Amino acid sequence: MRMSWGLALGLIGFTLLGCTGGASSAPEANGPTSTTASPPKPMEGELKVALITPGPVSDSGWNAMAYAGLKAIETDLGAKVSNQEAAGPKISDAMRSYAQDGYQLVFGHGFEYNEPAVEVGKAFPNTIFITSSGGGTSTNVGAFRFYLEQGFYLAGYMAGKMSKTGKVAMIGGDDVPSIRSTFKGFVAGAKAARADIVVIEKFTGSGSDVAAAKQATTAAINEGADFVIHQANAAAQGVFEACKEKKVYAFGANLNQNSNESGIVIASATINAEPAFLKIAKSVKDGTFKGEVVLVGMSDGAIDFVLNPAMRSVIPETLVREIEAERTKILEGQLTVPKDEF
Amino acid sequence: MSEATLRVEGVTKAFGSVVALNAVSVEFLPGEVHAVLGENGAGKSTLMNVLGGFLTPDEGTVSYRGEALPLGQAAEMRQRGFAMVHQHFMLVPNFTVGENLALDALQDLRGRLAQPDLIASALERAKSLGWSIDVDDRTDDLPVGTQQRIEILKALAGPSDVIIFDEPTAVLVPSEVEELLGLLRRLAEEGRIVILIAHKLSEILAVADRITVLRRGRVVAQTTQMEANAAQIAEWMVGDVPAPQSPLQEALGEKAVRVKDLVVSGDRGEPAVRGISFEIRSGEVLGIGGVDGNGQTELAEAVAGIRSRKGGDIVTPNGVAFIPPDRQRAGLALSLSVEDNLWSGPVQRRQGLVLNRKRLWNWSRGVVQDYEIKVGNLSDPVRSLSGGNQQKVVVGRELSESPGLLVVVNPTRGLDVRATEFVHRRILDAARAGAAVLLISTDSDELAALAHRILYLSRGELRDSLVGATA
Amino acid sequence: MTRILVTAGALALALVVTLALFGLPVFESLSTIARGSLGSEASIARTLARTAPLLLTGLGILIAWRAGMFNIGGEGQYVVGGLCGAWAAMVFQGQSSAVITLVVLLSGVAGGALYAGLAAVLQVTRGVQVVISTILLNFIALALLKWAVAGPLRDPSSTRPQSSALPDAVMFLRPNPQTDFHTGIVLAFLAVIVVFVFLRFTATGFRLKWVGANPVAAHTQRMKVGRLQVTAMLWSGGLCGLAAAISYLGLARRLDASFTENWGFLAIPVALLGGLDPIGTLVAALYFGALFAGCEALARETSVGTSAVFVIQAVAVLVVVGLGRLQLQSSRPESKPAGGAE
Repeated sequence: MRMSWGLALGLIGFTLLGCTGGASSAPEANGPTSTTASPPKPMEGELKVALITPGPVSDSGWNAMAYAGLKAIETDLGAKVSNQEAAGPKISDAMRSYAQDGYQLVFGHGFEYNEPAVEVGKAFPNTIFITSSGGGTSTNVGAFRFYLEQGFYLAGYMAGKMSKTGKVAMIGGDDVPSIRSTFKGFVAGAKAARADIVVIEKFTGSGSDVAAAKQATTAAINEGADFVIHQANAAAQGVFEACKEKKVYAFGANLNQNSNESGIVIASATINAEPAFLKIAKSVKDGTFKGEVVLVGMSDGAIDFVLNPAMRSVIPETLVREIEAERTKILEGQLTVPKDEF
Repeated sequence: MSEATLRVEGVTKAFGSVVALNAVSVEFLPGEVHAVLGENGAGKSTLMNVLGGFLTPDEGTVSYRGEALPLGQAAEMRQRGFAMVHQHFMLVPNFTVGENLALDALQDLRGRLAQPDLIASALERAKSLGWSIDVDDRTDDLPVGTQQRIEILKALAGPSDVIIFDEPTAVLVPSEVEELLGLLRRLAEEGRIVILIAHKLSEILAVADRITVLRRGRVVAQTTQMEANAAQIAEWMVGDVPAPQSPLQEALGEKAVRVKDLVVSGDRGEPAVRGISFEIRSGEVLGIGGVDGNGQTELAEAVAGIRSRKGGDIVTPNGVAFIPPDRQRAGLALSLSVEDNLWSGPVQRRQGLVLNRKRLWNWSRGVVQDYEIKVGNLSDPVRSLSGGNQQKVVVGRELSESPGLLVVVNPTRGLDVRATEFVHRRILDAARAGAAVLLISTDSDELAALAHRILYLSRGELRDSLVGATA
Repeated sequence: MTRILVTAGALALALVVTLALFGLPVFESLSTIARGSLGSEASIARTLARTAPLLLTGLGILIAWRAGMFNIGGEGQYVVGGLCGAWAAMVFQGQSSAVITLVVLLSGVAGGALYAGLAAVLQVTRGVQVVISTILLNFIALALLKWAVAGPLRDPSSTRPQSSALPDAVMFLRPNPQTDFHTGIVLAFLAVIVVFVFLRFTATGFRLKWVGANPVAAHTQRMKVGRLQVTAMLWSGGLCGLAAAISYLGLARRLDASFTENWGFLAIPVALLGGLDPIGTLVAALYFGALFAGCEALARETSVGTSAVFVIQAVAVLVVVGLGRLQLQSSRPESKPAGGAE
């Protein structure tokens, strides 16, 4: 009895506080709160674009790539840009802060930003949130879907053709769907090149633990793998070191890592975020933005597979031509590389 | 005037608004025991701390052998031969005796630490004084008298042309006091300047060649042993001579306290009280004498109900008040306010949930008035009070609600004449009001002045006389 | 009074010096910080949202330290409070949302209190100092969090290791969803009054001060020293756990490995800056809350990035700890030599 009284009093108190809090004026940049979003129209005034990354943008990898996209928006569209790192509970905070400061476009560079974007987006109908991968959308929330599987397919194809042992390996950091999906592309490519290929798959559970990545790679090579592709972000260095010690070839991922000092990167499956970032920013500026998942792949210039020119001597000329043929098939739509929806 | 004179000229030192020393000038001559007297708060300790290098005076100079001294630099002063035997011993309690002596002799932290070398001169000194010291004893296991000897050895081991004793007799039994006074004479005869602070006029008159009396930070009189006269000195100190207390003659009441075959362990589980029995009637003061470290603290705490007993029975009346032996350790929370230190009395007696701050405040104002506690503001930390006033806070807290049993241990240690007399009167008042009083003291004068009966504690057992009870 | 002025002056100086060392325009940066912390309704809400956990954990630390229990484990108690809250939310799923809110709050308090109580009991019965044990318990709590969000508390529908999101109805009200203000913040401010009253007007609060100032004398006064020490730690941990529950129900919505944001550690300088006094701690928590909110704005608007912000915050903390040390020394000049001013 007592308990419910206390509860009731507490709730009344909360409601009262809620009312007084809500009565104060709305913030300057975003207009009044409303749950029904008005349809987008061409913007007026300065375009302000923000980027939130899971790590430092100086990582010459995943985060650096997004930063390049942001910089392209700054130079090509004359936008005011800002970037910040945020993880965990700080993600929603960071998104809200940018929206409160009147940014019209906020990029969250990773799958983990999608859900907070949908949630924060509800409160800020005049700010558009874009996340790199992720499936949640609304009128003002969209996502990229980088079709990196296409690049991984070509890497798998090349590995399948060149492997002497008939075994190749994939080393993942966090075991997340986006990474698993790219591995699917690699497996498809390898099988297309050689039906009896064995693909070893290992996850370390961390995109930053270099030692774990090295250990997993060494184990895979000991199992017979002679080509290794990774999805280990900053821990990739461990993969390359292990490959160098064991004298096997590796593929770079996300960014062009061909010039890695280990000297064993034979080719890279790359993402170029600039065209995708620019396209979204333009659509926001024009008012033509639609909240959807945008698939960006090779035909958009966003995904590429780049052979290491320094290693051309070890790659048979016929294989180079075969890879180009596969690429053409993908570009012309004759070949659809498998991918997961997530 | 001799070359080796220590000259204090116009020294003034203020702590906030309190002027502890006001243009004090004194000369100390080699070969003499020079006593500095005064009530609590007269400025004695401040003067000694200036000479020890612990305080820098606001004004004035101190020179020795014609040279100005580096005041406020304790290490430097020590090098110049200024040694101090503190009232509160400066010993590391969980070091051994040897480690404490070595620590003091350590010049710096470089090089190898060789304890035997460092303490050699101290041990030699101990030998020449006829003291047997075990360097491997843990310091806090030792009785107070022995701890003092270590403190003295520390002073004598280094250069010690000027040696300052801050109330050294406060903790000793009469036989030890006598021995100490002999030592002071001997040190002076070796050509040192010996400066002595003490409260007991009789002791000072017996040993001091020259006497300086301080009152409220000023030098009010100087005299020599030849001219000194106890009544005159007391008057200089306080303005009037307190009347000596005498034990009560009134009829005693019922048996209020019954202690039977009491066995109590010390802090480390050693037997401290070994099966003692006594009774106290209401209105009676039972005095227990003897040397420190013979089970006094354990007995007192057991009777007061703070320490659990290993055997025997204790029957006590309701309302037990306890004045512990060491006010700074067990009586007061020095960092808390005077107010907080008084309030714990009623708060603990009533065990209510909520503090009635207004009532407590009024009550504590009353205690401060009744007990003449000199304090500017009740919210000042109790640390800022002089020793005598601190003790009054403890006594006031414990006695202000007439207790059924009063357990008191060395209640006037380190207090001046006036404060001692005041505390004694309050203890007797409590007895007159019907309290049974267990008075444990190492001061035989105190026992004689207050107790109806006196027993002696020796190695945890009760004796009828002090014979054989000294350590 | 001088103490307050000196502290404020030192903090301001430290801020200016740090900004200058990072090559930031001092005046502009200060105005950015001011705008980001107090400039708009959203900024003020942000300041209050940062203040709430600092305040609650600060109050927790204050009570323990006042009783001489040097609780360094605010962080661990915060984490365990959050874990218990999330666990309770899972167990009580399906109940009415008001019940869940209440149960989450109570579980947070209970979890934090028991975790701190464990350390206290170890000290009282076995002599293990809480300074040591609470530090070690922090590590255990953090490991527990990592395990729980990947294991028993994991949201099965989520691809990341995190607990399920709380529905809106369970969360504290957000009168204006564009700002960070939520009604849980009010609880933090109410806690100041509760702690103030507890320490000043109750016998237990009075005894805690005694036990902290001199446990030997407290025992001689027949206070139950051990029980009081445990009580102080229960309060301390309970407040840290409450801080976590309020963060969880306020903005976080779910737990993941980065749920804790060092609030339990920052609580120590907050409590020290506040002079171990409830009102002082309120002022200190507001200062740090405003600094954090302002620095977030600074990170968004300048290129120095988030790391400069951490440095600014760390310098502020160090200044506080340094000043605290100085105060500790200067507060007892009489006890240095023997007898005091006699």
